Amino acid sequence: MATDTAIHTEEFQVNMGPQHPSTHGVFRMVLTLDGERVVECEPHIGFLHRSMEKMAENRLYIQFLPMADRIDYLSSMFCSVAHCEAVEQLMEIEVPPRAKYLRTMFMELNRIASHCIFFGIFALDLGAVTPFLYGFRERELTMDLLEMTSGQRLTFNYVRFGGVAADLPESFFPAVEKFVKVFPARVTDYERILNENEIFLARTKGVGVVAAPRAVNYGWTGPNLRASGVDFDLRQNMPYEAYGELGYKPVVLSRGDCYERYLARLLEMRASHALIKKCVEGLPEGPTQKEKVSKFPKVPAGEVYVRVESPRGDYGLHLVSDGTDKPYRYKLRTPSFNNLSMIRELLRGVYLADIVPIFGSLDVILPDVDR
Amino acid sequence: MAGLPFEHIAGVIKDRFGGAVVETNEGNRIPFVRVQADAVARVARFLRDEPSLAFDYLMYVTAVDFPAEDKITLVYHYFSYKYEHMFMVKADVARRGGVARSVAHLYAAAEWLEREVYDLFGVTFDGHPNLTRILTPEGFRGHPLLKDFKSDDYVPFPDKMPAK
Repeated sequence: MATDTAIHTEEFQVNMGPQHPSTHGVFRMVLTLDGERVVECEPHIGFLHRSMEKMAENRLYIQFLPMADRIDYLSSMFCSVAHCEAVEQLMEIEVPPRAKYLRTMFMELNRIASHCIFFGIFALDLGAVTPFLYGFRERELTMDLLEMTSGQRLTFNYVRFGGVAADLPESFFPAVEKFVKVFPARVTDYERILNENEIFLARTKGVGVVAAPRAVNYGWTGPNLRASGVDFDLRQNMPYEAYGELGYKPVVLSRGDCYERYLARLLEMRASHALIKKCVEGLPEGPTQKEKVSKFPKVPAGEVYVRVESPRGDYGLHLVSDGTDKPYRYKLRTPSFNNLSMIRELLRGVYLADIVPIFGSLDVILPDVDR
Repeated sequence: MAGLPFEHIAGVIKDRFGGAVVETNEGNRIPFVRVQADAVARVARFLRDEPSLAFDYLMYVTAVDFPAEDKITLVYHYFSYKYEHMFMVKADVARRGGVARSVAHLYAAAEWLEREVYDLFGVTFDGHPNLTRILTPEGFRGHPLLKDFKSDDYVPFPDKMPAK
């Protein structure tokens, strides 16, 4: 960048994280800077490594069920659905339709909760405090709905082998009706506060652009990938639970910069809202739990791979069973891990001030990276 | 779109790599092809570059430890956005000092994925740009996902612990 070779510049190293607030948990980067430019970024992960996979191998399937919620605590419903789906596929259990709808509905509520956090935190990272309060206001509504059914606000432990833990309480229906009614206007609020904000646009538009082939090569998935223009969403392309019946059209954008990654999530909130509405309207009657499914199953030997579209992307679980009551191998393919692996390439050559928007726009959650 | 059936892809791989294909398993719930460990990268390149297969997305790389058979099985799971088909490749390596060719130059995602396998299983990847531990801390001993690694009696940093 230096035009005048007479000016002597020197590179220096800055350590960012693991306690830096905009690293969303514990992520550490060693940045080599030349003035305001990032020359090199050395990412360090693993601070939150709990060895989830080893723990799964040492526990009964039912014992790991509440643990699964803690893999990605902002989208815990997806982790436990993947866990139960894998067991159900190996045991060849057909889940009752009502349970499928309930799972789908709560996954979408959980997705909205997760995206609300993204909206709030991303804006907070860029210095705007108000959106944070807005995002948490609507997150509270979804949390209430989840709490009145599962009893928990964050790690729900709601899904069971062959169904769900509990049917909806009576008070759920007026509450969800209220939520469905107010939510679109709240998303409009979000859009009005940020979408055309001069500072927000200056810091996100054209920053951290990722072309589709590069994103695919790095194994990017979810809203990040769709913001780069790849039309792929498991809910549309490989539907599971009730998504096949409900139908879903993914949000696909094209430019792949920080702004579009933000926009993709905002639009997904609307799409999730439409799905929740459909779920409530089309909720079939019947049992919520398949009968005669053991709580302590001996899962038949075999191998299965389950993919779930979590708020962060393609959440996969590769389960190898040897016919006992504990998993033999429990491989988690977590979306944040792959989404974050590009960080070195993304940050090379950008300005210091762009680090936070780029990192924030990936919506990475560290327990999901480190497992 | 369902993409090509497994038999077809497996047939193409077999025609192309012949002797390097150890086993074709269609009966498994996830059908797979087992190749020799040194052929992993060649197969990966073919899967990626062959236009009729177009496996552009490496979903994950992992390993499964089989102490009874004295082997570690590497697992590569591919997906194609164009055709929407999945394909699994396996390769067996030794439990101690197992080596496979790295695919990080073909799939950037593999750079971290292979580091993870190295960290947790101790398998080395030839030609990897930066094969260091990724999840466990510096100075960590052992590879936690091996079956003979017992978490209960494990002391993370023995030399830093006070003497009993």
